[in-house]
Amino acid sequence: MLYRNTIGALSLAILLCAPLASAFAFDDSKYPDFNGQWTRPPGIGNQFDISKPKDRGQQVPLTPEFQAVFEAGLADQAAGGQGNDPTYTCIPDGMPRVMNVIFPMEIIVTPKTTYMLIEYLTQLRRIAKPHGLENMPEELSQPEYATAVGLLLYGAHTRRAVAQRPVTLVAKLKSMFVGQ
Amino acid sequence: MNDRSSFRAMALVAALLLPALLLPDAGARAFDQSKYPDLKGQWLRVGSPRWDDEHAPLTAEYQAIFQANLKDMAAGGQGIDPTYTCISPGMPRIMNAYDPMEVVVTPLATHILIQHIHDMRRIFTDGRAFPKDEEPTFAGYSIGKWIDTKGSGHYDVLEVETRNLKGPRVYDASGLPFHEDNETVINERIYLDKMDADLLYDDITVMDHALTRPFSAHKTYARNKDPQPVWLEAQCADGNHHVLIGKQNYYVSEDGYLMPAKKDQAPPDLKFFKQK
Repeated sequence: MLYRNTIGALSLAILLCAPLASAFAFDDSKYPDFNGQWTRPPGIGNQFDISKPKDRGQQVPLTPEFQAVFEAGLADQAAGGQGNDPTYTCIPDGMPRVMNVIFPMEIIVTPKTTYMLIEYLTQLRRIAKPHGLENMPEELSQPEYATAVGLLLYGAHTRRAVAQRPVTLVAKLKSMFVGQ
Repeated sequence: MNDRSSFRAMALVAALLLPALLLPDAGARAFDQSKYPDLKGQWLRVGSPRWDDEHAPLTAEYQAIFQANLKDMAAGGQGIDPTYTCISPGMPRIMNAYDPMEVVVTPLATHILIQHIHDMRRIFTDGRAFPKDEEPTFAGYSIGKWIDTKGSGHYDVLEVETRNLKGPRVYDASGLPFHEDNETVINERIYLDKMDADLLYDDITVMDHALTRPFSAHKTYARNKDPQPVWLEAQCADGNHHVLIGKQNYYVSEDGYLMPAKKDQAPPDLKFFKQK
């Protein structure tokens, strides 16, 4: 009787709290509020390093070879050409230039992916959370570790693939010639 | 005794849940996805990316425009289909889904992300009205409402209305035209199949001044079974050989020479170039 009452009370308490379970489907309060439209602040240019002037003022540590390429591009632009900038053909400017945010940006945070929707050329970035982790600290499932975790998983997968290669003498000799 | 045990049990549970109960802000901001259909994943078009061109209820004026367009295409031209210059196909052609599609549901908007030239649609579901002075766009301005048609406490249909469109647009690669006033209104009902949650439908109805009555299409998309599908980039401008000069389309060969797109086509006027 005693236990029955206790179980009943526990069930009632859990039942009363049941609505909370669905509310936790995606607790966006754990994430920063990125809602809205993001633009470059007034006065900020669309060069890569906004703390420095554009073009040569960026003081990019290029190799001599690519400094020459860059200078030739600037000379062509001064003559009315497009230099090395390929985006006049309307191809995407790609990363990291996307993040210069020439036109507004929206950020959508979901449990597994964060989306960056760039209005300029309607470019889209998907930033996935690491997948395939178990029994790891929660921090490792955050997007900033995605590349490192992905490389580790790729390495583990490759190692397994290498381990599964044939180990007979004939197979080894064959692999030397076909570059396996 | 019994009452005391029950009271202790209740107190224990309440104490364990107290932190959660004391966080009303967290609960208020939490997005209850369980109320919405699961539209996650990669959606692929099922069937042809065409409308029923032969039975489109065009006015006589726009039927003539359509026929002239087909004749130009038969001669090697692009007709009135403007997408060879890599501009957005616009609505409702976006929903032909030439490349895979993703649907991202958030509390205030549902985003439809089409891989084909990265066409993106924002369907606002925050209860707003259509703006009066917004710049027109190829995708238009879309306002949606989630509907619980069964009264089950779960939304199952997204109703959408799209206005404020920009042109030129056509329905598909046939060049089936819209009226040049761009006052098109598009209604949609987007929902999952009742028996197969891996099938998504979009019932599209178009009202346009080039039509004698509303024109509808039923689009179907299938969910890719791969939980981590590949999203290939589909950039039209990357390697596009078609060019528009004046009102004529030409072709740029692989080795960079301008070529005619149609038999006996005259070259463009080169009056601004130094002649040899």
